[in-house]
Amino acid sequence: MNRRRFLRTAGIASLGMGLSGRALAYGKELEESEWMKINGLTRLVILHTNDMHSHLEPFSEQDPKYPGQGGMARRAALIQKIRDEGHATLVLDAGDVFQGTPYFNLFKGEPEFRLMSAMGYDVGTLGNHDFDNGIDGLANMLPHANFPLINANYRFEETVLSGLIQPYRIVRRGKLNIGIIGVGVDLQGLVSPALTGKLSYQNPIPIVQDLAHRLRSDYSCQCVILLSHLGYSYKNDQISDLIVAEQTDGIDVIIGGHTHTFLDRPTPVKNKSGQMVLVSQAGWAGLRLGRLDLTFSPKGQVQNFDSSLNEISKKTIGF
Amino acid sequence: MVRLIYILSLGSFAFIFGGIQSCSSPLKLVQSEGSYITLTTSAEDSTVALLLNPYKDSVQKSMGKVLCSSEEALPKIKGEAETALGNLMSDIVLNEGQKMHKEVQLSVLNLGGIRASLPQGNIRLGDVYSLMPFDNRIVLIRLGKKEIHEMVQYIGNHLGTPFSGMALRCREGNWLGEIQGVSAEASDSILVATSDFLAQGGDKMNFFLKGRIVHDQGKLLRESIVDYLISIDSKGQRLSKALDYRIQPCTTP
Repeated sequence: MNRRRFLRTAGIASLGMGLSGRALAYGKELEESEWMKINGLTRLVILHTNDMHSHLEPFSEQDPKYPGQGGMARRAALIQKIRDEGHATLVLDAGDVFQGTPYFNLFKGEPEFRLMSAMGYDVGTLGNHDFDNGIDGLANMLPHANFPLINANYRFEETVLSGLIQPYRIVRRGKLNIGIIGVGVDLQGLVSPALTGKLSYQNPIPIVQDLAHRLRSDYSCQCVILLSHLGYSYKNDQISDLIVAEQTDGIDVIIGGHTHTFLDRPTPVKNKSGQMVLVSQAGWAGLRLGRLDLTFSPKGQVQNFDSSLNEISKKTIGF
Repeated sequence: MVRLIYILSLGSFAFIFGGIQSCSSPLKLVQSEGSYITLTTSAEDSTVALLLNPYKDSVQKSMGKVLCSSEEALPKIKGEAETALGNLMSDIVLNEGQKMHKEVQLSVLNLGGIRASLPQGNIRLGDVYSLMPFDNRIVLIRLGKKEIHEMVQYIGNHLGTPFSGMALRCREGNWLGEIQGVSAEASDSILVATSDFLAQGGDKMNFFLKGRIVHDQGKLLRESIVDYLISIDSKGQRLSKALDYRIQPCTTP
């Protein structure tokens, strides 16, 4: 979006609320950080990928669909550039890091995890292809990742991953407690039973619902993110991100994968309590980086913000 | 309760939360917006690039071998009944299967198993690894009458499923298979070449679970593709694959 325009109009709109009068009295445009400070706002930037499928390098210039696109070293530079904006930043991956280029055949996932670690990924979840070298193959690669992989709806107790994969992770950024829950797709028909061994799948919906409530009530999380490899949506009734969004509450954002979905913009879904959940997915192969900007306000400012944003949209789209 | 507001500038999206969620800390989520940044030509992070280099050298060394040249790019496409790349792969598997057992009449693969496009011009070993990264083997399965019917309907109802050796036609909402002019479903049994992934019921091809495995130690699919590409190059040919309309989807009146 056009951030300068946003800020300028937001500044003007806020004038009516008496929040940024001083800055405008001097006739200057507000810098974003200044505007946020005046309004007491906190910003969290979530950067996300999914279904990287071992695409460490950009696609070749001869590729008929994505010539010259993607690449982890470029993504690392972009992530750093966004970090330099100075907001609290989270970098997440929604699974299927493994399998898809010779890198995985030759090195079994080592460079994928090492590069993600160097780029500062905070949390990842498991996709079906992360089991392509079996549970042992995945367990052997975990030492190369300096970030946790989380999943709440697979049972690992009788496998070598027992104790290595936690259901959720809480990340603190300043005063913000962010709860992140991991969920994965039913592996039946996707991964050979010989590879998954005694791992079993459970319906993610009741698990997500329970954890979302607990993260808010017991762990004071003001933001709960679902990191999902369930898939964006299906023609049949298979559990998808859109279905989980509708049938639960307490989740603010779903970062998805599996269906390699390219969205024009994240999809807003009304949850079972009438609140909005933002569902996002960033294609595949590291072709894109998804970016969500969440703004948090201290008590009592919701109404102000609402009206100022109304003003902005009037000015921006002219209704 | 919740008001939705779009900010229509440069494809971004924003909305605000009218609802107040209970939590013990005063910070509340009041706005979220999102967008996607496509990675095209832009700066590289030198630390990450350096970390990648030794792996990259190794991949280039072992995967850089040119197998053949292609007349045109063969893209990975979803949503089409038939694709040149699907035809290429299923034709190769049928041919390999027939070398394993002379009664093999058909090959069936899955669209999800096509993982990348093939470029125009030089095709390198690495391109075939990207196309078929899995270590799946060719398996021969004998299907009975009932399973043949299920297979024909499955292929018709999952458009883009690569297959070879059969013509598929839609008649009044039903799919009919023909092998060399004879109805597939009239046969008591057919020997099919497929992958071990599908033989184990992958992609819900459950008809394979009910068949009888005749041979489960065929070549790797990838190896078969590599061998084929080398063979056409050694004959001085370039890779070229056209649609042959082996499937004719139902036409809407």
